[in-house]
Amino acid sequence: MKPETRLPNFIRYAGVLMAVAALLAAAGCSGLPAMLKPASENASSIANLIWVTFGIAAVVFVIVEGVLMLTIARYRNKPGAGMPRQSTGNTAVEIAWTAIPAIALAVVFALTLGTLNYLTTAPTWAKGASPTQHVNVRIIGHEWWWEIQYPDLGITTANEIHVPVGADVSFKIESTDVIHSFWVPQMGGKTDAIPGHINNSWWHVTEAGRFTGQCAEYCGTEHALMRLVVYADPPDTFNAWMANQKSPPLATDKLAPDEKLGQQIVMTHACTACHYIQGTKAVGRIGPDLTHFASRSTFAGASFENHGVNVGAWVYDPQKMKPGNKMPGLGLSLAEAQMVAVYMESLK
Amino acid sequence: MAATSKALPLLQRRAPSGIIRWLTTTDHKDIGIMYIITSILFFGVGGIEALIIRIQLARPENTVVTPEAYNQIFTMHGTTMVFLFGMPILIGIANYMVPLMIGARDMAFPRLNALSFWTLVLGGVIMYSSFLLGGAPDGGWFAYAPLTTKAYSPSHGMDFWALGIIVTGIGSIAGAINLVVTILNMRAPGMTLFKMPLFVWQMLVTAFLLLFAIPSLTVDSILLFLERNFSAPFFAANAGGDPLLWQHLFWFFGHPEVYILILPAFGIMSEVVPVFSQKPIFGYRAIVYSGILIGFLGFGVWAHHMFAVGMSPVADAIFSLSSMLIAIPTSIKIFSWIGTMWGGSLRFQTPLLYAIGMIAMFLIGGLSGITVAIVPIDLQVTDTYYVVAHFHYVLFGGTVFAAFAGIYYWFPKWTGKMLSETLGKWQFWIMLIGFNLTFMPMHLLGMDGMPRRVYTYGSGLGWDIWNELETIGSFIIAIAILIFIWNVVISMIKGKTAGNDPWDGFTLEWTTSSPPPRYDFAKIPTVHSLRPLWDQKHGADGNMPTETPKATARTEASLRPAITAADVAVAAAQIHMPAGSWAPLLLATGITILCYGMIYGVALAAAGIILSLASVIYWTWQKV
Repeated sequence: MKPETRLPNFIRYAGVLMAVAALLAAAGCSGLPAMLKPASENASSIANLIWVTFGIAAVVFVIVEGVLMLTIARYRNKPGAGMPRQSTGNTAVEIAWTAIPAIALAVVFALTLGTLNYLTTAPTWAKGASPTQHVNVRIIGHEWWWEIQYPDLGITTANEIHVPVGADVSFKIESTDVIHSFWVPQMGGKTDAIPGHINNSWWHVTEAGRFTGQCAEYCGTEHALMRLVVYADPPDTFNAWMANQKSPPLATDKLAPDEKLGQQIVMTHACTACHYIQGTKAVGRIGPDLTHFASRSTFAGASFENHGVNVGAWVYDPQKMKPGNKMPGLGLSLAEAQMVAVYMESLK
Repeated sequence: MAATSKALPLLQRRAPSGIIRWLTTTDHKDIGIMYIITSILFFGVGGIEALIIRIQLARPENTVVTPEAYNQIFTMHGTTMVFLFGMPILIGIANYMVPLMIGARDMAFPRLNALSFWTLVLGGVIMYSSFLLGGAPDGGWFAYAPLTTKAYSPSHGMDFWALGIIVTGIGSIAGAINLVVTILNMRAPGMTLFKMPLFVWQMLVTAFLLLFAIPSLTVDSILLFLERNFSAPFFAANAGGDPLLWQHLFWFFGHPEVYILILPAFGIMSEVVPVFSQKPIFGYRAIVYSGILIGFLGFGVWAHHMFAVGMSPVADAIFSLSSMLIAIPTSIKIFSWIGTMWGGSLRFQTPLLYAIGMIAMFLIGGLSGITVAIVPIDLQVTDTYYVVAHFHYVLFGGTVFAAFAGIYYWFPKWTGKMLSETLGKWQFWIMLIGFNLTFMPMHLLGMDGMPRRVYTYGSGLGWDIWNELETIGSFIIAIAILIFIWNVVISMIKGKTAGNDPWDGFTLEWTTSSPPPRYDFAKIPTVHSLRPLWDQKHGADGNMPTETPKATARTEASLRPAITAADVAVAAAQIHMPAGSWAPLLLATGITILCYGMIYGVALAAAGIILSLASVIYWTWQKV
């Protein structure tokens, strides 16, 4: 009796497993993962390739696992059945199961070449194209934040990239210290930022919105907090952002009294050695450019929301919020740190 | 009987007992057992590290460990699982089984074999001692420069890592030479290459992979050590070096390494599946040739780890193609195992369960492997949890499941006891469920943008639930491993006695006793076919009646003709087996002291060199 009851059990276990897998898959499909919600032509060319390849893989999966399950069910040894036939192979079958994967792979490789060719053929633009048609962006990886420059527009910012919808964006990607990897899943694949190398990438942005990414190459202690944000703006919004970034911040005499106090603290401490604030004594170029700090929604590698409380806490003890980061504690009192935060939030 | 007991004192004089026996042994079986135990211990350590990783990631913005500790732990998890568990468990099984499967009495170089093992242990000690000596390695198991250079990793951690890698590398290269020479020169009469068991074939290919791949890693580690300690700028871009040099040398080792970890597993599969299907392997030569092909192609795919570094599109396309080509010989093997089961008479004992689990899980890893060979898809998923899922399906779903198939299959030969079938089946199902719960959601997380090697992630990204499930899954795996350990302990104490041939096996190892005597075979068998033992028992077509005790007696007698108590006595007294030796352990210790000297000063280094030279001289002059 026992052999007969064990057979359905075995299949039932497999059935339960498959049901769990299907559940997981279904739960996954209820919200598509970022890679399959592309916001650029580039990401969508990859998403299409993923769908096709996963389709082929699903067919192979079902066939092979199906045959495996069938084999298990059919060829369980039965008492008294004697030895099975001692076959050692079948040339026709072996040729078939070599050729069929080869053909499937040839198809996949052809598709790969097509997409690869598209992704590596960056559009060329003459100098003087309007920024809403084409914009050059220089990305420089630092431990653990992103420096973002628009060389043609004279803009330097950090961790947040604004790009116009409908435009081609060309990237030059570099690093000043260790290897980082520039990645925004909804915009496209990764490009490593490697010391001594300048790598290229490009996007044709199709969807407006806020998209998150982060450093994808392990780069040390705070690799996890080296994030970035992309704002894909409609052309008007982009132009407004651009105009604001190009304008100088408020002159000291236009600052409110408490902002002025904060500014004084910044200018009389080590802040100025590492940070740049246009029109002030702060001319350091080691840390992020703070000229328009308050125009950004996040700070410290896009890891924290940019508001007075967070900024005050950061300035008071930077090593507490992001242990290991390169900003030393300044020895400010809590009140002083809060005043600095007030000034920082005035840098729109 | 009288003759046997007279022979015993001789045996005992040759093999000291207790701890000294193990420290000086040159017996391939002892060394195999030590390899297996050591690697399982390291599996425990690497597993605990994995559990800490999973606890930290169970919730967003968790603070169970500091970022620094997390980075050290994932570095050592990867390093341990690859170098201190994955390779040693397979090499250990090979150490025990290859001589037995080819009808030899030991490896070709027994003392070199011991040296391989001791360098593995001491290499592991060097790496793990860093936890007590100022900070563990924190640059990832792939140790990318310049993050691992002194400027960015100032503790001695990466020095210990590089030295540990070099020392274990000595053992791997020595072990590979030993396997190649043993397999090519010491096969029983009549065992042509194409009558060799498939596990031995895959180990032969693996040994060649080790020979050509490990030196690249050794060179890379030496360069890193020189750059860190003597300011030689191999990788520093601002001094004329190039960070990509590290990557090319590392992956020229690193990808063949994947095949070093999976080909022996394929070999185990190709032994277990036919025996439990009671049918010869389907397409023996196809499996041999596909293994060789994987070996060759394996050296032409390394840069698929580097699609994002900015190579030319042509280079990308070539490495993409070579990587996809690997899928063909690999799928031939999978199909051959299914072909072997098809039409067979399957005995669902634990070894076959693990083998079937391996096919089902490894297939998933293989399919996701094709997706990462596709450059555009790889640019998206590389360095995300998708890749973590992929290689765990290959290395856990593939190698670990196959290793368990091998352990359950050969444990009776190693110990003379059967592992409990009931506990084995519980372990299998629990591990299968835990494994899928842990690693399946990682595909999804990677595609949703979760990078690898992050100690934390933000809430509200939709990643929380999957990470929590994964953590639960990892503890389910841990339960399965505990059941395995319990199974080993309880079976050693009161397991069923195995006998010579508990599984109705095919190959020579089942013709000798369990565990085998020091000399393995009292008389070296002569081989006429791929399944020498099976053919003796059942006839080549399987039609020889097996049920009658008379037939069994006849076949056993014919394969091991006239092995009487007198023979055993003669064998014990006359077969020359190498004596134990302190030289391998002393040499490995000397090398290790030299390594600490590289960090802590010339005096210590000189002591290490003197001890090494002295043990080499002792080695050379010692009579064996």
